Amino acid sequence: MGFELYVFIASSAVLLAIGLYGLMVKRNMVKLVMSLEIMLSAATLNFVNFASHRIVGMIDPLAHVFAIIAISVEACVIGVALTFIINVYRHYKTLDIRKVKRLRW
Amino acid sequence: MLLLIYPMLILSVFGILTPVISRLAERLSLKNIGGAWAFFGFLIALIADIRLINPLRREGVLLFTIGSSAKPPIAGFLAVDWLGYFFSLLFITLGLISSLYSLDYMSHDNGLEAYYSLLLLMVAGMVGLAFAGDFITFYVFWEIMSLTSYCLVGFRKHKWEAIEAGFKYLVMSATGTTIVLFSLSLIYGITGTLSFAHIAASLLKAPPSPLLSMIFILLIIGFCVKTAAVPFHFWLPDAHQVAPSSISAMLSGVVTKTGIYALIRTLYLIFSLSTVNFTLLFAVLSVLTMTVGNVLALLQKDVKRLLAYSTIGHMGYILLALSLGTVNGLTGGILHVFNHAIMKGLAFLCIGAIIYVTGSRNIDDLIGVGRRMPITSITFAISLLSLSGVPFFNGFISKYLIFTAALEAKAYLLTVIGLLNSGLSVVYYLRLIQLLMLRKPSGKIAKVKEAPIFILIPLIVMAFLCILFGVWPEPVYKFAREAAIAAYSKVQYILAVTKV
Repeated sequence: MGFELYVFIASSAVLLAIGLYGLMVKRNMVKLVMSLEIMLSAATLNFVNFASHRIVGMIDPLAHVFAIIAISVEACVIGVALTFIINVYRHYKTLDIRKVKRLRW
Repeated sequence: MLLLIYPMLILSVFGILTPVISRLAERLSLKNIGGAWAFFGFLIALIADIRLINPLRREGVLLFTIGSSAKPPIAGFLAVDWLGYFFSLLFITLGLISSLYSLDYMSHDNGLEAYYSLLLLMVAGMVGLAFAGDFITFYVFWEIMSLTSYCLVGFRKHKWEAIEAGFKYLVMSATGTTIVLFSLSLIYGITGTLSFAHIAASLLKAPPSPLLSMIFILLIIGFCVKTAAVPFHFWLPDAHQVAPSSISAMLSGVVTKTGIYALIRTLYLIFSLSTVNFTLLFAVLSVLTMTVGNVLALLQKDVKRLLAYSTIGHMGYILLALSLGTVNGLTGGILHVFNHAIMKGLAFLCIGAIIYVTGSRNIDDLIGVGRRMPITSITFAISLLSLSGVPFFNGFISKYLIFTAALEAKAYLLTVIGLLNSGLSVVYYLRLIQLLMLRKPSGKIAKVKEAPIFILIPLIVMAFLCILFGVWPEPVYKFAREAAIAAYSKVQYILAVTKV
C-alpha cells in the first residue's frame, strides 16, 4: 500500500519537472501549452492518488471532484491559449516564442 | 445564508444575458444598451453586497452551504468574514466605475457585447474568490477571473501588441495557477480536506517541516504571479500597457489585489509565523518588488507602462506591510489595497481619457495636453499626488500607516528602504505632471478638446474619493482595521466554520 503511494508521488513530481522543463526550453507556443497540460496532470494524478490511499478501503470523492473540475477548467484555458496562438500566427507568421517579443522595457 | 450568493449570482446572470440584450438592442438600433445593462448589473450587485453588512456585523463569519447534507469539510461552500467582504466591496465598486467609463471610452470598438459580458464575469469571479470558504470554490472562481482577464487583455485582437501581451499573461498566470494546484494536492495529502478552516485547524500546532515549507513556497510562487512580485512581474507592464484603459484600471486596481487577498489568507490563516517563518522571505520580496518597480518606472517613455511599473512599486509596499506579521501592518496593507485601487484606477482612467482624445500613449507626443483638458488634468494631478503620498490625499494615510507599523515592528532597514523608494517615486510622478500639464501645448495637441461626459463623471467621482479619504480616513480606516483583525484572529474563523 505504502509503496504504491510513493511510486505515484514520485511520478507526479517527475511530470511536474517535465512540464517546467518544457515551459523553459521549448520554443514552439503549442508545445508550451502542452507543457502546461503536463503540469496539470501532475496535480490531478496527485489528487487521485491521495484520494485512494488516505483511508484504507475508501475513496474520497472530494479529491475526484476537484480533479474533474480542474481538468475541465484547464480545457477552457487551453481553448483561450489556442485562440491566442492562432492570432499570434496571423500577426507574426511564426509560432516561435523567441520571435514574439516586440514589447520591451 | 442565501444572501451570500446574490452578488455573484446577479453579476453572472447579467454577464450571461449581456450578449442577448445587446443583440436585441442592435435590432432596435439603440446604442450603448449593453453598457447601460452592465452598469445596472453592477449597481444591483453592489446593493446586494451592501445588504450583507448587517448579518455580518451580527455573526462575524457568514456561511453558505448547498443543501443540508453537504457540510463544510466534504463539499465546497462559501464563508465570508470582514476581510473577504472588504475586498468584495472594493471589486464591485471599481467594476461599477469602470463600466460607466466604458460607455464612451469603448464606443469605437467592435464586439462590445463580449466586452461587457467578460467584465461582469470577471468581477463575479473576483467576488466569488473573496467569498470562498474552501480551495475548490476558490480555484473555480480564480480561474473564471483569470480566463476573462486574459480575454480582456487581448480584447483588441487586431493589434499585435494585445495578442503578444495576452499570451504572455496567459502562460505566466496559468503556470502559477498550476503550481498552486500542485501544492493544493500536497495539502490535501497531508490534511485530507480543502476547506480553509479545516486545513488551518489541522496545521495549527504543526511543527516546522521541510514538506510544509515546500507547500508554502509553491503557494507563494503561484499567488505572487498574480500579485506581480518581482521575479514574476514580466506579464504586468505588457498587459497594463496594451489593454483598454478601463481594463488596465481593473487589472491594476483589483486583479492584482486578488493575489494579495490569497497571500493574506495563506500567510495568516492557513500557515502562521510559528509554522513557517515568512518575515525574511517577504521582506526580501517586498524590497525587490518596490525597488525594481520604481527604478524601471523612471526609464519609461510610455505613460501606461510607467503607471504599470508604479503598480509594481505599490505592490512592494503592500508586501512590506504583509511581511511584518502584526495587526497594524496588516491594517496599513489592507488600507493601501483600497487606496491604491482608487488612485491607480483614477490614474489609468485619466490616461485613457487622454488617449481617447489624442490617440497616443507616448509622453513626448503628449506634452502640454493638460492645458487643453482642464478637468482630466486636474483629476490626473490629484491621482499622481495621491500616488506619491502627499498629505491630504489618501495615499499618504496608508503609506504612513505602513511605515509606522514597520517602525513598531522594529524593521528599521525595511522602513528606510521603503521611504527611499517612496521618495524616488515622487520623481516620475512630478515629471509627468510637469510635462503633461505645465508645458505649453504645440502642434496637434493644441487643438484637442475635453473628453466626453461619461468619461468625466467617473474621473470626478474617483478624484473626490481620493480627497475625501485623504482628509477623512476614519470610516475606511475602521473598516480596514476590522478586516485586519478578522484576518489575524484565525481561531475565531476556524471555530465559526467548524462548528456547523
